[in-house]
Amino acid sequence: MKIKTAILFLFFSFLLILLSCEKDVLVPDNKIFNLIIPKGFPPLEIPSDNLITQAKIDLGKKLFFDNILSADSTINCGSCHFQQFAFAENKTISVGIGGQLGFRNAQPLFNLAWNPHFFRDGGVPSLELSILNPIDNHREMATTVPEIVYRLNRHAEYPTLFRRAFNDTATAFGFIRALSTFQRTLISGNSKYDRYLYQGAQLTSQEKLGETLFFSEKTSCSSCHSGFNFSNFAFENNGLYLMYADSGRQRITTLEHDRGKFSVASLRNIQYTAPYMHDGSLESLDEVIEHYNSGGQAHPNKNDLIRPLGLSDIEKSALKAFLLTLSDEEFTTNKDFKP
Amino acid sequence: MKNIFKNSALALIVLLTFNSCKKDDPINEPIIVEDKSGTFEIEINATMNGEPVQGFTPFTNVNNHRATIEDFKFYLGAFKLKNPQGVSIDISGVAFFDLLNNVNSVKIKLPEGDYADLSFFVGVPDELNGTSNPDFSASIYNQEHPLSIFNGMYWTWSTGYIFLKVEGKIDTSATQNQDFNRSYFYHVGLQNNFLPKEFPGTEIKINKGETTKLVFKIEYNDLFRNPTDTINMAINSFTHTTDNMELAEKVIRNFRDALTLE
Repeated sequence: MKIKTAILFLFFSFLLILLSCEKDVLVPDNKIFNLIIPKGFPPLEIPSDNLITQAKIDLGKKLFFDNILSADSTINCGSCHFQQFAFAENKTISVGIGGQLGFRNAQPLFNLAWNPHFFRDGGVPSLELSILNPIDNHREMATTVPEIVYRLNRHAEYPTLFRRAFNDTATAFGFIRALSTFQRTLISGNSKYDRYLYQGAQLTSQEKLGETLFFSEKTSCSSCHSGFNFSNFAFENNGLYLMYADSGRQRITTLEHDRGKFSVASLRNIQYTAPYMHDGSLESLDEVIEHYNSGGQAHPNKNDLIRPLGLSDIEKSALKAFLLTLSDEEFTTNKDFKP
Repeated sequence: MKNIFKNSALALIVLLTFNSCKKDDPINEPIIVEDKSGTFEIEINATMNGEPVQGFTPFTNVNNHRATIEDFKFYLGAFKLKNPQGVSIDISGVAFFDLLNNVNSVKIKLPEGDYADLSFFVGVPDELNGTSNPDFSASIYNQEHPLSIFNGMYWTWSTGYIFLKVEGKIDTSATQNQDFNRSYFYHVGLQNNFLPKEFPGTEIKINKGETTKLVFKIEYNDLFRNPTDTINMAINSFTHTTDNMELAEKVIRNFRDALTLE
């Protein structure tokens, strides 16, 4: 009987505490969330000032899909980054607020935690800072971090979510870190080719021919599309144009030898990320393979490895079949990444 | 045994109550030392055709177009003064100005005495700009810091800070009926645009516990004209610096030259 009384006393005392100083007892979630790193991927370096917690992931995901981010509250990150397209978009150029066309083809969002730089010209050095561009870009969300923070602090749910994630009100610091934390969890490493390398899955003979071609000197594909993410993260001019409307890396460095150079794209999930190239000018994978087979335009900055390949139709089909083994269907349906 | 349980439960409740509702701990009183310093304040006031500048209010620009101004922000850094012994002293740090939002002054604490020959640079010093430091992250600064991303001066597509940010809208129509149909913006940065500004002969007397203020002025339209040239905002309506370096250099030089003592 006395034990029951004590338990009841405890229960009501806790209730009293919760009611008397609600804000103070909302316990921040500081428990580190361990990301599962796919086999073959290098170790992950997480910024010491933005360790991953479930509360940050939850808050970041809510922000990612919330129109509160845009000036007129009509679009969010997910408006141009769709999960079914590996968080890219099937449009040549994405549309921002007021129907304005953006600047470049929307890039897919996966394995960003390993990127040494962000955007096609590599102008931004960290994932945390990369989230700022679509926010203040006049052609995209056209708002500001101070404006968003103001809105978040007046929202019915966000103050509690920020307190849980950061033990603070909504701040620029927390906003940036939550949104980048969610994007850091977008990891894709379960393609058929991953399962072939590490789990005994089988490739068809056509896919194997494509694999051989991909890694051969005949195509030199893997000279740039190398490593766990099928990108060496370098900047290359692939001879798409003789005259580039978008100067690419040159815009950042102002160096003429960087004109028309763009960050080498990952080939993972390439099946889902059409249209291709920095400006979305190639609609299909067949067009991309044909571009590289042709050797491209004779731009002075073009990488020497881009030269006529003389691939037969069988070889082109095999190369395409291999590229399709890099699709991670689970990534495009994972419930953890849905709103 | 039951008493132990009961006593433990009560102790737990008391502990939680204290922890959950704890106020800030008292801090030690600061140690008072004799302070012989005063304050040097730099204030900058902007005008538009001679009148105090106002955001979003139409004005006539140097090409007789109607226009508005929506952003007028900049950094000044690397301040220098000659101290009472005639030695040039460096004042580290950077000051942020947002002239449409009443952020128009910076205060610098100095030991009392007579100072002279103020100079500074327009922009952010290299060591604070982050472009030559691969580990730099602008997101470390709190909202009150001049270099906080909250101020909207960090490039969001590149590294480093915008030194001078000017934005607005312009009416390019023939009728000029205030149909502000085009945006203009001038975002100027990069170390080659870190420009010195000197005020030889300035005399600044700092008295203990007092503020000495120097007031500067800048005419907004002077950003778009100089003795030999004008910038047509309807044609050369924007620069992110690297995409039109010549225009960027022109705007920030005009800005530097237009900044004068009242």
